[in-house]
Amino acid sequence: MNRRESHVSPRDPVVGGVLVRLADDPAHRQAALTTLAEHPAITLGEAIGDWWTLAVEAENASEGRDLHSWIATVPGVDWVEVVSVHFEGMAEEAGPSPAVEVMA
Amino acid sequence: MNTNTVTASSVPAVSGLDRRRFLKHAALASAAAVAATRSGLTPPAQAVETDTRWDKAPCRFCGTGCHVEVGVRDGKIVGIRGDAKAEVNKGLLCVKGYHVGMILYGKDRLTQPMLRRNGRMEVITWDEAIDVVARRILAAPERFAVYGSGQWTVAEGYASQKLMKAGLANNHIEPNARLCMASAVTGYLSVYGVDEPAGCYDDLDTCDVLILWGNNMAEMHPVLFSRILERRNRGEKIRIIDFSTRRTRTSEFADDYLEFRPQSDLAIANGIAHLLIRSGTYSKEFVEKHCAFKTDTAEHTLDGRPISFADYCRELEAYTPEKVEEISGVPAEKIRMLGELFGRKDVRITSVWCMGMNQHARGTNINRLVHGIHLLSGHWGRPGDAPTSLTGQPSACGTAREVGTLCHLLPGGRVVANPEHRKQSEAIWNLPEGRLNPKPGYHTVQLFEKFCTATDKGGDIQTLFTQVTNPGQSLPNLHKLFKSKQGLEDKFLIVCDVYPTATTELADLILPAAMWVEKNGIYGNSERRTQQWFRMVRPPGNARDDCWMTIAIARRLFELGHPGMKDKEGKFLFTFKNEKGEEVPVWEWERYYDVNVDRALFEEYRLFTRLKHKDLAPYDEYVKARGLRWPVVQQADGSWRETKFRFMEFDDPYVKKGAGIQFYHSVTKDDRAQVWFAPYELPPEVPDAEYPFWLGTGRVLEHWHTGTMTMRVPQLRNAVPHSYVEMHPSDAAEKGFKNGDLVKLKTRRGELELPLWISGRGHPPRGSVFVPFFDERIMINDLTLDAVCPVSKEPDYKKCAVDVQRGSQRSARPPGPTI
Repeated sequence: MNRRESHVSPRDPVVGGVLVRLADDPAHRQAALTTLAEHPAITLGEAIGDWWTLAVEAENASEGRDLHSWIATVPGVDWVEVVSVHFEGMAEEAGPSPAVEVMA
Repeated sequence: MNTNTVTASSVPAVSGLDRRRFLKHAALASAAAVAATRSGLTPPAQAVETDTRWDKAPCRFCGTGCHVEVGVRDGKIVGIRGDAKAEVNKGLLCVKGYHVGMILYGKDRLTQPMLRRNGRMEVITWDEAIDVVARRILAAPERFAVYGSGQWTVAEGYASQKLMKAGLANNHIEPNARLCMASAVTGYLSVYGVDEPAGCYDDLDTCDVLILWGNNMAEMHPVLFSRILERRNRGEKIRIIDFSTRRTRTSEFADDYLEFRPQSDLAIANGIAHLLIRSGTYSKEFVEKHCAFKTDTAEHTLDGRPISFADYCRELEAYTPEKVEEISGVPAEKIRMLGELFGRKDVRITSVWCMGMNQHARGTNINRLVHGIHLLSGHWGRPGDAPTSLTGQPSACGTAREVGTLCHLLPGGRVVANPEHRKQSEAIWNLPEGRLNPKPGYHTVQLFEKFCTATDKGGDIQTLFTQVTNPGQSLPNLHKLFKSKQGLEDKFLIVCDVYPTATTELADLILPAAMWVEKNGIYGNSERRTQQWFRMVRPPGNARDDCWMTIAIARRLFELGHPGMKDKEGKFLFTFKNEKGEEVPVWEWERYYDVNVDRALFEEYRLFTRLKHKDLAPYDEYVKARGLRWPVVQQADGSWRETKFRFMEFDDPYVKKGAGIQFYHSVTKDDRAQVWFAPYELPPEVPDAEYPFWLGTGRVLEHWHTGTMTMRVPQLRNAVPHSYVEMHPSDAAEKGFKNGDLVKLKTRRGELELPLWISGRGHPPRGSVFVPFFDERIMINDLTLDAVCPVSKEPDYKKCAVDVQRGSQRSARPPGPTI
């Protein structure tokens, strides 16, 4: 067993379903919606109850995580929840545990 | 809105979309379904994916029991979404949950049985592997032990339990749940006479005050914590009180953060009880109707000693707010605040806890005391008024506690020491009278001591079989309890797992296992909810189901003539028939899925569940449901009804009409719960001149337990790529440490170098450090203490004495996690 090797393979897009809760203030809400809608990787869905639905598209998992973090920082966004991840190619990214890295 | 805006209901036909566009619509539809469920609206129809099959499963990780929907295409998992139909999570998932599908696809999955020969692991056939195990057992059945898991499915645990206790008359079987929730078990047993919480997660929806006793819920049970925060977002008032020995993410959301010295939670709980008595605000009616009193004794037994209410009050006299402040460091005014809060009748208080109270040198006692202040104050018996333990593994309740895979238990809450319980079990298993062994086996710490001690020095466990767990990283004091196995020639370690781990490093035989939705399964979560799923994808290579391995070993023992593998009529213990009544040889892997072995074992196990009123419904009811909370009782119309609140007349069918509340498993046989007194006692090891800091260990949001699964998911691994030590900035400054410096931790048991993270995610107080245990390259359990609670036998991972010095090397690692 080789516990040291590492694998990263070609990837497909990562597509996530996301819920955001926006601020109560109408101006802040509108500003947030505009910012989110303008982002090329985000598809704005509809308002349901307290939530807005988003589809978030990224070229890989790392970019997806960054995008998730960015959404949380958009002024007027109070709360972000990820509810689904479609990761057809991401399974190929999974690697072994980085078992015995040596501290330099 | 701009052109990016679409609605879920506008999803056009799949055939008209490219794949990427379709996935976006599917993602929006999933989000819409969850948003609608959470808003009390009817969820819109999901987009139809003709090439992806979706099915339900409980998440593989913690004890919360969230349900996911798993999307499978071409035999591979391609998507995960929160299950909007699931009451537990209402469509939400945590960061681990929505990556759970990827845990199957680490590149280093174990796919072939391997036997160590001349120091090297060699691939062997399954026939050889099963034969090796069977012959090891046959050579010395009484020196064989099984170490399983709260991640075992119910069927896996039940089969293993049956092999050991019914087949081999050997009680040396333990689940790793001994390390995480045994103190909760002894707490429930000694207070109510029966294990597991009376309340459920619904309490979180109705409480006015949530008290977290050493429980970092924001990271350890994040979906449950989101449930609380969502109530706040809706404008509801809910007060969060965070008792902790270090500031965590949970503390950021708390109204009151109360930092206490390790072990002093005992004094705090007594301080609250003291104030309830002194002020007369305890619930006289509840106490008179429903409570009796006990005290712990010098022998620290499960039963303790009965005392009067007057004695109980006298014991508490010393725990004045000022005295509690002196012991705990929590200001007296805060203790008074808590006393007043519990004295109020107009609020509902829910207490929750997990490892902070359970991995505790007096774990049973702190569990007893927290139940006690709820009972004493009458904050018990209404939705929102509840003391509830949470579990860290997905089936610690279902498999370890209910199936009874601990060394002293039989299924359904029975104990091996009770002749009547043995008789009942022998009847269900159709065993000859007297087959079952009345002597409890070794508890986990003892078991590993015996395995890691030379045979001629009393180490009478020679062959150890582990499934679905990684003791080589998770046991305390690893040099003593695991690593000292090395070099003991007559000891033989068999490890069933899905990936190479610290445990497989010392294995003599490795058996590659199927995981999660590669097999059928049933779990039982923290709130008594039994959850079922079906196999959705095939395991890689030659990996096989853990339950099959157990049955195949039993069959080989049967073939080799072990008499215990037969029931009293001479039939094999694991006999399964198909719908035509024909016996199916499921020990042949090719035939294993010819019948649903899970269903058959579950139906047999169900027969055990009624003694303690933990009734389970037929298997097929769970196929339809997103879990059901026991007792699940059949109604007059033939339907099956779950129970949310036990011992309460309004919901529990076993409570006598007119009783209101009835503790029908009372140890005093009078329907009363026991309110315990237990004193504050010093922990077994405290900082001193040589080891001046406290060391605590635990988990982080992104990694689950020993990281064998989550460290193989790049998103989770990259978020927290390695372990670290948290330290207070003033302590670090005094020592001249900077963020990212490599420091050396040293205890009486070992030493370790790791990077320092100052002012990171967690904030330990001065004089203490914290290290997570997920990183197999930085084994903090080389340093932890193996002292156990004398009643539950659960080790204390939360406090020992440590020295902190500059490391010998410079760190190449970034200072702490990247987030």
